[in-house]
Amino acid sequence: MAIDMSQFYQVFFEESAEHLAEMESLLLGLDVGAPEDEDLNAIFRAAHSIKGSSGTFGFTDLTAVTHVLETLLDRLRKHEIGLRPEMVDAFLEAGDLLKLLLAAHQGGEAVSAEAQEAICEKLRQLSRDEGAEPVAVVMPEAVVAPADSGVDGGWEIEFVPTPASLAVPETLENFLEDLGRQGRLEVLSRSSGPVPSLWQLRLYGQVAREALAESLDFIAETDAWRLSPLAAPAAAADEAFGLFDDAPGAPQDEAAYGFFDDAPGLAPAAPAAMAEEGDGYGFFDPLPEPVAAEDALAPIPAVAEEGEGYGFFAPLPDPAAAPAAVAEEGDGYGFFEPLPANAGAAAGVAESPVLEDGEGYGFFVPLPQAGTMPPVSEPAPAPLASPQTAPAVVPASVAAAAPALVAPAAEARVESRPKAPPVAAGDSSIRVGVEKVDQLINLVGELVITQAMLLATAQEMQEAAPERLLNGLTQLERNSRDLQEAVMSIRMLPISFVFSRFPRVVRDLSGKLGKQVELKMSGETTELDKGLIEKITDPLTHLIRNSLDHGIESPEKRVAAGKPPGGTITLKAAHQGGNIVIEVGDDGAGLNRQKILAKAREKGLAASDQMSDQDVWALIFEPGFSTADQVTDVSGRGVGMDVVRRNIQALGGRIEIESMTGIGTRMTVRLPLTLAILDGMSVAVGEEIYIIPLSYVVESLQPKPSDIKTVSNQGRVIQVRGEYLPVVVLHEVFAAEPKVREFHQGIMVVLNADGAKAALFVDGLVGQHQVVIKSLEQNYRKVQGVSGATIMGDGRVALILDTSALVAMAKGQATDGAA
Amino acid sequence: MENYNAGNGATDEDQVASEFLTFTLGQEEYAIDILKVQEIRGYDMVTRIANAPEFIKGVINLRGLIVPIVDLRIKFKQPKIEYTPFTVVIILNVMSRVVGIVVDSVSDVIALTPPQIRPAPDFSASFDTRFILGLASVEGRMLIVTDIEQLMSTRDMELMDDVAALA
Repeated sequence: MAIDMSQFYQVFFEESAEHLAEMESLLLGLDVGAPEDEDLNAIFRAAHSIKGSSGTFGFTDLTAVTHVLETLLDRLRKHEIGLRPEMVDAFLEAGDLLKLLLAAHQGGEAVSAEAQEAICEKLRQLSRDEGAEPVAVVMPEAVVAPADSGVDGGWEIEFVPTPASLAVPETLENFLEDLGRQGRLEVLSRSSGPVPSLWQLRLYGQVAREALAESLDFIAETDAWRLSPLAAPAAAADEAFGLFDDAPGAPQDEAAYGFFDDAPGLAPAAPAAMAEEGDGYGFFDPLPEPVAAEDALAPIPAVAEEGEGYGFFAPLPDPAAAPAAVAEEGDGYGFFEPLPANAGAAAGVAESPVLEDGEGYGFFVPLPQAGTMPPVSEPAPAPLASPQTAPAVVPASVAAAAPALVAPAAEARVESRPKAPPVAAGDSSIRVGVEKVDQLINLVGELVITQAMLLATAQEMQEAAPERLLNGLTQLERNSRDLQEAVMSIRMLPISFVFSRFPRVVRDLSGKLGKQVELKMSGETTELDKGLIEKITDPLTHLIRNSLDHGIESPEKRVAAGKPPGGTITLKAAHQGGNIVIEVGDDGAGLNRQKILAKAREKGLAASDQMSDQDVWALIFEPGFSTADQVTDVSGRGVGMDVVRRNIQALGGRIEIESMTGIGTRMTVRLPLTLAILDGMSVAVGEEIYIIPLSYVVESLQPKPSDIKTVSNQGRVIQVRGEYLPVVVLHEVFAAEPKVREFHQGIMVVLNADGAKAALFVDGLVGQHQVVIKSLEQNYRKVQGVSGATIMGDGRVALILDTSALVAMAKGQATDGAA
Repeated sequence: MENYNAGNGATDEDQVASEFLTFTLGQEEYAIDILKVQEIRGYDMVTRIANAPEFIKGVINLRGLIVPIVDLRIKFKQPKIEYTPFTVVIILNVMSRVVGIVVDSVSDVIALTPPQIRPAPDFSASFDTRFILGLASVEGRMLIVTDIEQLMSTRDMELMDDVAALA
């Protein structure tokens, strides 16, 4: 097809990633002993979708891996073999490999062929392993299949190689060599040069179709090859696969590929094959005989019967027929390609796929010349003899053929319905770039500010403002607030996006550590900003790993302590006020106070036995702190908890620890709902308003003159409930002109940042706001002590204070003063 | 922009006029490339920035964008600086940033062809002339044709974190 596929790559990558994630979560939720059919089917569908689309896009490595994966999954879902734990592991590994392959296609590191082969081999092994025993059950039904799949006469092989395989000539040479080993090979036509064109081969000998199909999958797109038997009538029947034996339960090829030759009589049978599988692919060749074309034209109206049929059609030169097919189908997509040889025949092609169910795709490969096809038509008479199809395939009787064509289709559709995968839920959502959403959020932010300014102006007018204006403005305020909330919610995602990876982490890690751990999650639907979701993943992963490694004890220890051998890690998320609270808890040994204190002293940190538990636990956030006796590859290097706390604080959040010896530990992470909005306390210094992030504010107080003391007549400290805190005078730091200079006339705001406290002296408190964070660096530069800016209700800019920097300044000041 | 300095020969290119916005600072008249100008607005209340140099008045809210305001009169050591309702701020779009400059007044928009712009005499070390593209004479007025982008990105403008990297 001449369509540039690369424009769809991004969609493919995203979709495949979603399928993989879905597959993984299903696999992890799978009960190995008694897997749900529905789950197995869903996993199979996910793998199949990846295979299908990667084939379409020419990512042959993905196709190859998913193909093997799918084969095993297919056997599982048909209960030919039983599910075993190692299969789940293998599936997960295959999923990881697919992720890597996807990443490689997106510019990531290439994946070694050995790694791919190793996993494929593992999967093949698994599907082979058990093949012998349970298959016996299926045998009676399947008897026909194995017999069918080997063809005495050989195969007519036609394919259009992928550009990728053409680029590497050895690929095709190897393929030919490989075929040559299996039987006598005759090359009818082959392309040369880098342009993909049709290859025609004939292979004489007894070769299994499966084997050929598998090798063809590597060099040609799934929809760009076909096999037709060259053989005695008996063998020919199977070539059309279950087409002619209408038994719905008959074992089909995994994806129900229907191959239709140019024998006119075969065309009517097509719908039956397609219907067997929800996502069957049909390959329809043009019918060379004009007669056939005519009778095929008749059922075109049937197009209208199914809404979602996609058909790729060769051109219908008959002007009357073409519009008929197109006009009647609202949702059908038709791609028409020129067919040089027998244009009239193409019409016959058009009718079949559209009869199909929602997921049926028909790909029509234009044939260079109908004349090159004669050998293939040989088997045609054979199906004629087949009792089921006989009435439908008499090419001469045009009138009889038409109704017959429709009939099997209608029947088949009834069967196919329940099997067809549900129409993607994707219809109810759209993909939009994050920039677009951000732009929308910005614009709405502007609207809210403008509205606030208008309202303020109107209120200044007081009596002069007409009542209706004020009412209108009040309504505008409400509407714009609703609008802002709604727009903000676009960026909100359920936290399950983060949580969903943890079952895997816990599973892998507990296996590695020899612990039995169950992960309990709740509140997965809690929503938070997409930006936060991305940034909270690492800290949370770290907390969970920590709980697993340090928290949960080994089964022996647990039993000795009178606990059940299996530990539990709980992961909870909930909204609390304007915050989201995430809890990571375990029922392990709890933090060891003595050990932490000992370690702290060893590290030279200030630690005393009188410290409160809370303060002791806070020590584990110090850089380089680890109580693990051994450094394992899981944790114990002491980089981590300090990074976790720093990351969480960078997001405007806090982390708290509760622990009880022998009962367990609970880490609570509190985060603002979004990164763009901050809860702030506004303070005044002179004419200016500054915003202090509320999460850093401990308290504010009006000091008595006697509370302020100086140290060495330079550094000032304030006594707050027995604690001496360094004083940071904001107007001095910012060289501003304050309204008050006497401490007892102003306000001290006690800040707590990075575990250090300081008192910030300001003129007065103004209020508490939710403010939208704006960057100062975008047009200006970083300012010491300022983390950003915001726009107040009156349209003025207020700077947001960088609390950590201010507290650090205080520390420096205190040290200077003491020196 | 180098071709402005060429000033000799009358090729086709020389005839292509560029438009310049002119503004006054005290007695001096400056011309800047109009394509760098985003808009002109009145001087509004600015929010002072802590520890910024004197000529950086602070930041304003320009429809949701935080924009720094530079008072060129202070920067160019003009004697008389007052803020009246007629004080003008030119909002510039330079180096993919938005910056406002305060000037005494905005005069007009004129078209200048490269030959009209004469190279400025060499003041050698007395002051930095890198941002002066040349001098143009229009109806008896002398215009100082300024590369505003160059001017705003000089290190002593202190508008950026790492001027050296951009200059």
